[in-house]
Amino acid sequence: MSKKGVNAPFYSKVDGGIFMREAKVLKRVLYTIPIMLAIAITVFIFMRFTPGDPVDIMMGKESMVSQQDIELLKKEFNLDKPIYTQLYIFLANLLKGDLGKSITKGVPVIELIKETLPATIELALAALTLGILIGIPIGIISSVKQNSWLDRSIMAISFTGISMPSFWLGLILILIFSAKLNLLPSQGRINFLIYIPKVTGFYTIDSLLAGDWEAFLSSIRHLFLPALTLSAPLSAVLARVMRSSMLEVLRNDYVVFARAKGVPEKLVILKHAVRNALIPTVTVLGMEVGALLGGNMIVENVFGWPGIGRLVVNAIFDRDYPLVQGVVMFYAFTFVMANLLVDILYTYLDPKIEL
Amino acid sequence: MLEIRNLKVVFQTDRGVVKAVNGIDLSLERGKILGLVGESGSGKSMTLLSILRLVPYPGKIVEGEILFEGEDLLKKSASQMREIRGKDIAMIFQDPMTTLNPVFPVGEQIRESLRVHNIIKPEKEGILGFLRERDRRKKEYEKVVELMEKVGISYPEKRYFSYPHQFSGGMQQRAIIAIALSCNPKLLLADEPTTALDVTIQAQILDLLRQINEVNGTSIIFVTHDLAVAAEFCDEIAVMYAGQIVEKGPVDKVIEEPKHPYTKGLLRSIPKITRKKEKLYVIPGNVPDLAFLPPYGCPFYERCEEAVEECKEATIPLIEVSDGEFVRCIKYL
Repeated sequence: MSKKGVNAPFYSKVDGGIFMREAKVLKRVLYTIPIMLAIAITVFIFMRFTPGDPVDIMMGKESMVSQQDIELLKKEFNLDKPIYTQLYIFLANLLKGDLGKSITKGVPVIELIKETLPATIELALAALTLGILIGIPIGIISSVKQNSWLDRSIMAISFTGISMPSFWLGLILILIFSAKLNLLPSQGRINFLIYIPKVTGFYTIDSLLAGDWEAFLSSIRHLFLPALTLSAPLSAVLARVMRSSMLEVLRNDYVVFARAKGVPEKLVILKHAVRNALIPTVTVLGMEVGALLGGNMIVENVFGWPGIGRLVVNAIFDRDYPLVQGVVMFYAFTFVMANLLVDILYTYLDPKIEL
Repeated sequence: MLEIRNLKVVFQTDRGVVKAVNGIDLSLERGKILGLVGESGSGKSMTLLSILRLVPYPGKIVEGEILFEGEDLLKKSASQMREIRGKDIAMIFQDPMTTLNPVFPVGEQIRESLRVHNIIKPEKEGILGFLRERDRRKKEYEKVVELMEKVGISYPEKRYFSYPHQFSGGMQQRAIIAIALSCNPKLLLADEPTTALDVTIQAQILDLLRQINEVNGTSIIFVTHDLAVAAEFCDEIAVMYAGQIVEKGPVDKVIEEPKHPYTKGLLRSIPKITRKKEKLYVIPGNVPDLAFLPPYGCPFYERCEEAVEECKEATIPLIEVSDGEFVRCIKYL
């Protein structure tokens, strides 16, 4: 009776059909629309709270430009209209996918983002990878060797990593590796004498595509210090979270049971325990993506990295409303998407959780 | 097949040394079921875990011998021990809800124990490694389905891919038993396997264990705090108190004519339907704190109704009162 009649697809997960997950993901993506809208309004309003006017700043304090020209300029960027009209125009354009034109640069915001985005993504991904590759193994080792001198020193270092401000760490790294030891470059993405054709915008990938080893090496060397700076707090947090959730997991019956089954200790840790300990760690990872975005503004400025972080900091000083709004929208979108990704990842890590 | 001699397990805690298992002697013959009975904290589970050398930190086996088929398990290397675990000696735990790993499908967890002990050997021939692997997996899958069917899990092909939280407690315990059976162990250590289950399921699981014992000839050490269950299920019974065995012998003798006051107390505290409106007997007092146990005297002294002055001072050995029946009580000295 038990054999016939039930034809479960070989690798189907729990009942629910093939497209359940896809439908749910789509639903979650649609949910982000109202979130983005709320963010857009908030950014707009907060930006208007900052004192100063972009045109005034552009023209300088004792401007030689006539009042008439200023009025004209303000009109061009709709700054002469009441705030609610400006908000309306901003939102209406946003729905059309138009982020407006930068006031100081006169170029569409979307172009500026497109131009600087690859640099930022390259740096962020490098930092994320570095953070995961350093943080998670360290957390695992620390938990397995709980209370040993190794564990204690790792935790002490990670505590330092969390508390160190990244601009300071960046400067110190520059001081040691660039200024004193002259090992690594401190500014830019690649040696300025090297030219590589632009394909993806990621210099590491583009140089590989061009088959230019020298360029690849140069871009990796340029990437290393900023990525390390950006990843320091991330790996420190991941190590701590991973350690504590491992310690929690290692106390569970199923770990003892795995040992009683005769599973080799290495597998008990790396398979049975780590898979469970990753669940809380991934949550933190999602949150840390936000910190990564915030951190890149500082790190990009310290290392002269031509990314979005540097773009937005300058835009804030210039009160370049459309540019700031556009970049913040982009940041928010990335953060929301990263968390959606975490939620999807969850369903794979923890079978009890559904989207 | 199994002989434990003078086993001592201590826990180094902040409050001092806790003697969780304090000089235990046990022996078990092939195909027999031994019941290890006692209150919580009497050292039953620790005895089982010591057999597999899985005493949790900061516990430590400090003395004794555990002879399994003539070889001392305490002298084995870590890798030899790993091969014995799950293969020759399997263990099932008290709470099925927490024993299975929540993130892996149940079938995969059964398959894992086939894999770690190399039960299904990979074919030597075959051109490509991954094809051989796929073949091996398929055979393992079939074996798992067979095992699941054997322990009474219906729709095993479907249930193979279910996760532990989609199983009921009884089903989970069956899956755990399937894991324990996967390598056809000679000895099964069952640590209160039915405590967390309700009564009807409890009976089914006991039937299943009995069946395994009869069909495969697997010896079982059955730990329980329920003397009634032990009486029904076991061939021999050992009663533990404060890390020591206070009475052991064939089940009829221990149940029919208990010698030790503690065993008598345990038997009296089992509710019976025939007793009418009578207040249930309770052994007065509590299990002593093992950290502050005096090195001499009977640990049951404080709670014993038959205690005499000497009990406090004397070191009482396990005394053979009749063939195969042992008691640790001064009255039989």
